[in-house]
Amino acid sequence: MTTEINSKLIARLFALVLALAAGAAAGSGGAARAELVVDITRGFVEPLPIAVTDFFADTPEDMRFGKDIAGVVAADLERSGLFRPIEKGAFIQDPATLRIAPKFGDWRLINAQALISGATQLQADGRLRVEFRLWDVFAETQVTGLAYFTTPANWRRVAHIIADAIYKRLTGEEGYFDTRIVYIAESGPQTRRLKRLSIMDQDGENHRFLTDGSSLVLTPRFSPTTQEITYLSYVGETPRVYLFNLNTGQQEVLGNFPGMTFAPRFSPDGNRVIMSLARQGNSEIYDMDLRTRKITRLTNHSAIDTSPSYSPDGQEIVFNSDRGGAQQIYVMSHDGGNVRRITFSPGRYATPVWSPRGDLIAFTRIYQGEFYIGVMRPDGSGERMLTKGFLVEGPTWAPNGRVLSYYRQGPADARGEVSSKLHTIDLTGFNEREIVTPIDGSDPAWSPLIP
Amino acid sequence: MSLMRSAAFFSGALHASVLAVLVFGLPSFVTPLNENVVPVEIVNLADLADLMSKPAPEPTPEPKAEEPAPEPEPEQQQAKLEPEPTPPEPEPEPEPEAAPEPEPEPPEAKVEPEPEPEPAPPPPEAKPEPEPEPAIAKPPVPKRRPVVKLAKPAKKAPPKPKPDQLTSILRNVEKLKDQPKPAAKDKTAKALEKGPVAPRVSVFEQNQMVQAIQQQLRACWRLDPGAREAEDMVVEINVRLNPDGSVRQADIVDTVRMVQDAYFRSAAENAKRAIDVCSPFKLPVRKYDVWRELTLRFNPREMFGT
Repeated sequence: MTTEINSKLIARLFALVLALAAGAAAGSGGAARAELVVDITRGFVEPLPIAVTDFFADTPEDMRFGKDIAGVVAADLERSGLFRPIEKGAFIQDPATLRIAPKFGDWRLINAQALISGATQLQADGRLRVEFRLWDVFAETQVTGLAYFTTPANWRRVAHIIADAIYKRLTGEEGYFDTRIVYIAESGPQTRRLKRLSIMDQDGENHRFLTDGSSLVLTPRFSPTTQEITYLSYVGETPRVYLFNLNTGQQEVLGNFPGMTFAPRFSPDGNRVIMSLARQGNSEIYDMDLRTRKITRLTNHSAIDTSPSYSPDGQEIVFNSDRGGAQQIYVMSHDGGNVRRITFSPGRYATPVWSPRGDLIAFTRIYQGEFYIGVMRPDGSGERMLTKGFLVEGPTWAPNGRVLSYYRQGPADARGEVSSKLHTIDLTGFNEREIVTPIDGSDPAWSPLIP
Repeated sequence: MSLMRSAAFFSGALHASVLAVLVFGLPSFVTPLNENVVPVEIVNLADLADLMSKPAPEPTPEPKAEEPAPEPEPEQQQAKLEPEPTPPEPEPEPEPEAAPEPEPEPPEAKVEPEPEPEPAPPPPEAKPEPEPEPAIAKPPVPKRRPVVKLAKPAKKAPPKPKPDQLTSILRNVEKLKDQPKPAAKDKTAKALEKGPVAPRVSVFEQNQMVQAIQQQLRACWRLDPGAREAEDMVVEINVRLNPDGSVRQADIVDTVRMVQDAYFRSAAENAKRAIDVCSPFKLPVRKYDVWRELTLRFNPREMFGT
């Protein structure tokens, strides 16, 4: 307690000192508030032009790592939609002289606003050393620099980690490149669809099937804190909820939940799961403590209450209910009290998911025969539809709350086949992309950053 | 007295710096920056798959054969980065995970021996996968989205913005019932109210200056409307210009928030970069007295159409 107060006090003192220093600097620098104040209210939205150079290396072997790592970093940044890596062919300065110091003029000439340089070197002990630097081309300063040691086979992860570091420094937001996505891989005819739990890196690499498809698996969900997933698997007619630890491979059955409508979602601390169960023909929302396996009912209403999702602070829960007629979105406190409706537009709402950033709730909306993926603030304001289609469903947030993944199905073709693909979209509604998977996919779930 | 004091101070400073050089080595004058420690470990998902079920047919045949034995340690350490080709050895100094990374640090480096030797068999990363590097389709980046109308239904490149139209930079594929309101208030006039101005310059002339600066910055100010609280990030920057219009100095006013709020810092750096990119400003040199010192207030709210 005292330490907390102390640290707060210190933080405040620190801020005060900074403020004083800033005041002094402003005074001496003569850049005090000027006579002419100009309001700048117009800008533009465009990816930041960035030059990602091949990481320098002395040996051809190291050089391959340097090139591959730079390639993954550039691809990550590009995919975010916030950066535009400049064609390497346009570069004027070569990696060897860049190693000594950037010639900023050369980079301004090709309109690079940020510059990434780096180096890779295999160490005597067999590890790979990778370093990078981020430069502000116009301010002519190094913004950040980091070095990593790792086993050479891990070069791809190091590349994602570097891309995350760059993203974080330039956007102020945690990155999301060092993450994975689990989803349901689908194949075969609609009548005998083979569904396998699968996992891949966020960029589609390192794809693996986790189950063989002999039993139906549905609705995988990632724990927000650990590399753990839950999913639903049917044993005969009974849905069973599995908890599966990706690091240890440990798998356990959480329980049999007849009448479950969706797989549970984890609480933000990863200690509990929340789900809807149908008992006596009525669906209510329940919370299960994973440590004690104690189940608590949170709603009690004759209407169908389903698809709950926690706010990132764990204090509130967003869910669906048709208590007002059509299925709409409601928010309640974590103990089930203070229920309020937040959507009022025509149509049906489904699968609300609270953003890990806390500022938005994503959802599916079905209106006049069309599906939408949308977002709104937790009080229901600022509702925007990001994308629409014949069927778009199952939004899941990247751990930084900036990007959504979901799946998109078209109508059945002449042979009755349906294609289903995973997509991502930025919360601004731009930069929609397909995640290419070996076969069809549905129901994506985004992991937290890999620890 | 004051001479003696400053002599003592000088001597002290000199001693301290000699000591510092001894301890830390000669300083590098290129900003070295600190780093985060991120343990890199890879879970062998092929094994996981085996655990869960029989190995499923892989669509992307990979040489499963030679999986390197679980390496004891893909650990990471922090090392200082210095732009010289041969950086001096970093000084070890324990550092808590995830150090906040903002400031230029003293040139000592942190080396954190990662304490966790985790088995991390790396997945076979040989090439034969049919692997177009980024597995994401549609690489093309959306064309420049100049502040466009809200209810844009499609992915096509938005039309050129009408300059004075109230617009939003967030997309909504559904038609909006309430369209953004009509014309913007006269920001220029508002800007003019703010400060008293050198009497020799007419309001009209000032107006012209303000508009010229606004117009030039419009083409330089790149912002990210999806950032957290983006619409509330108002950034004030005090700017001193040289007679040729180049930027002599640009200081972000809220230095405290720069340190405390990473989102604000990012927004402020975007605004500052706009000034750097726009430099030199094209302004009439005869009126230098009017524009030598400016306060630029970057306020994105209007672009959100809220």
